[in-house]
Amino acid sequence: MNQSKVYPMSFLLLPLAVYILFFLLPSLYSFYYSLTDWNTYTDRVRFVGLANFADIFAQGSDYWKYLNNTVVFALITTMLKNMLGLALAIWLNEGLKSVRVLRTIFYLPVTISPLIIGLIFSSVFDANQGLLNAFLGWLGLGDWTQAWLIDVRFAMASVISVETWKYVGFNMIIYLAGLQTISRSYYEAASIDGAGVWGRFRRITLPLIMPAFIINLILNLINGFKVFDLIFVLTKGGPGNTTEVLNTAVFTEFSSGRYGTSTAFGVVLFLLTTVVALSTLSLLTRRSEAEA
Amino acid sequence: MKTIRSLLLWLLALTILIPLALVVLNSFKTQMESVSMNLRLPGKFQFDNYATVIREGHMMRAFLNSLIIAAGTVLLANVSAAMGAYVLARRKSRLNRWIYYLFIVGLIAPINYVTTIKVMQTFHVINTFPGIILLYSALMIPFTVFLFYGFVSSVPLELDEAAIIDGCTGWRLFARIQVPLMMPVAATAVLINFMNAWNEFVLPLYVFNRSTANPMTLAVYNFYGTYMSSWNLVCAAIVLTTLPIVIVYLFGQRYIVSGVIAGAIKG
Repeated sequence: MNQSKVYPMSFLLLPLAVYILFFLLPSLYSFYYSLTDWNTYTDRVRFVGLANFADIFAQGSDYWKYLNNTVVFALITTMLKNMLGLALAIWLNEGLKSVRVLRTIFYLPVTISPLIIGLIFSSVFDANQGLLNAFLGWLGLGDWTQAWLIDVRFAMASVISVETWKYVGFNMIIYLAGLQTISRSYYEAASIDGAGVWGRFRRITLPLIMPAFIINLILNLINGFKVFDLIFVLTKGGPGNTTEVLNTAVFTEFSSGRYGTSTAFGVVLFLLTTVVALSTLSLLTRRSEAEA
Repeated sequence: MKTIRSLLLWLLALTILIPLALVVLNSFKTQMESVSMNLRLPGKFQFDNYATVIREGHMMRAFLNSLIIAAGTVLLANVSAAMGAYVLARRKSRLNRWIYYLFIVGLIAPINYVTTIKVMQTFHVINTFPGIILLYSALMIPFTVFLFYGFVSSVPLELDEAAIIDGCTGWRLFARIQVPLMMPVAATAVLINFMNAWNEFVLPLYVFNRSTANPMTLAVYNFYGTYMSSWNLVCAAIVLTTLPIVIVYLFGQRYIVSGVIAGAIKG
């Protein structure tokens, strides 16, 4: 049987061409341009070596702060989305009549554009006219009202909470898929052996949903590193750079015409994302190989 | 215990529903009523808000633009990814394994906006519909290849072999045997790609500076910039962009969720 007649390699031409020209090529270019002083003010692009990266990694600089904010944002949102997502999944795995409706509701924000979510919460968090402060006032907690997006103490926490609000449903769905692979008989056997709720969770649920956990971990980290729309709409990186992250810096530098620095930020993001994702992934495969 | 759990879950569900209800309610209010964004019912439902938004925000145009971009992307990304994934899954040579890994890189790595613009300028497709469709497709091909690859791998080879004996190969084998089987996974891919294309905001922000080609997201953002003090109108604009997505989600939920899970678990 002639493989190349049955399954022609020409079928790969279109997807490869589109993908290489519009994704890989720009990515490769970025490694070169991140080493230059490319900008709008002059036509000449000069090679400057690692100068852009030296600027980004200079301790105490604003740029270093952006990197720091990105990591903080990614880590905290990853933790919150995982914990809440798992809790929801366990509660919604069985029983209640309204399970399906609730699942639909919790997943709804995942489907809405982050731009729109950002616009909605810029109103909800508004210091004077926002729903959140009005609600706190109504509860008699008027002292707790804050300028959520403008106060340096709360801006980061606010954007983190919106990001978590949006993606909890995604984590829930992945955990639900994981939970559904666990056979009921495990729990029954454990109950007979006298294991309590916590014991069953720790000895059965937790080990068996490890794959779902790793997936959520990787995807949440990647999405956390890449965050842009929400922060761009909610705080524009402010107040005073407290919520400025890598992808907003890419845009700021781009808008100021400093293309070289913008590209260098992009490269840092590229490396951060791929290295973290691949090393977590290889950790997973090594683990499952050890078990097999 | 069950009632407490149910109560708690519905309370959490309210934190999702209330911000969304807030937008819908305020989209029917007068400008004065919407100064303080609250959950009170509008005194009189102002359906005119929608007409104003559509007129002032050039939403018809933007809606059409989004539709063109999303439809073009869905078509290009799905047809090309289905063909590519099919050959990758059926001919597992060393080269094909590497091509597959090459696609997977695109699942993880973020794009570089500035050099992307440069490349699009070089190809003279910047600010054009074909350009943005090619770019969106490039970004969605990895996930779509991945989804189809997983599916084709699960289809028994015997099906192909029976057809091959009857002299059915190449394009005919793909179109007659695989494509009909692919329909459920294609539905998933179409829905997810459509939603992603419709919701995309960052790329238009970087790549588009021709207002007549603006998609909905950019139109809403620009509208917000101009009408920041009229939240009733901003809310109406938000409803207009989001409604198609919510409808697609509610009707295609089964396909979307199964695709998200398949995409994540095998990744």
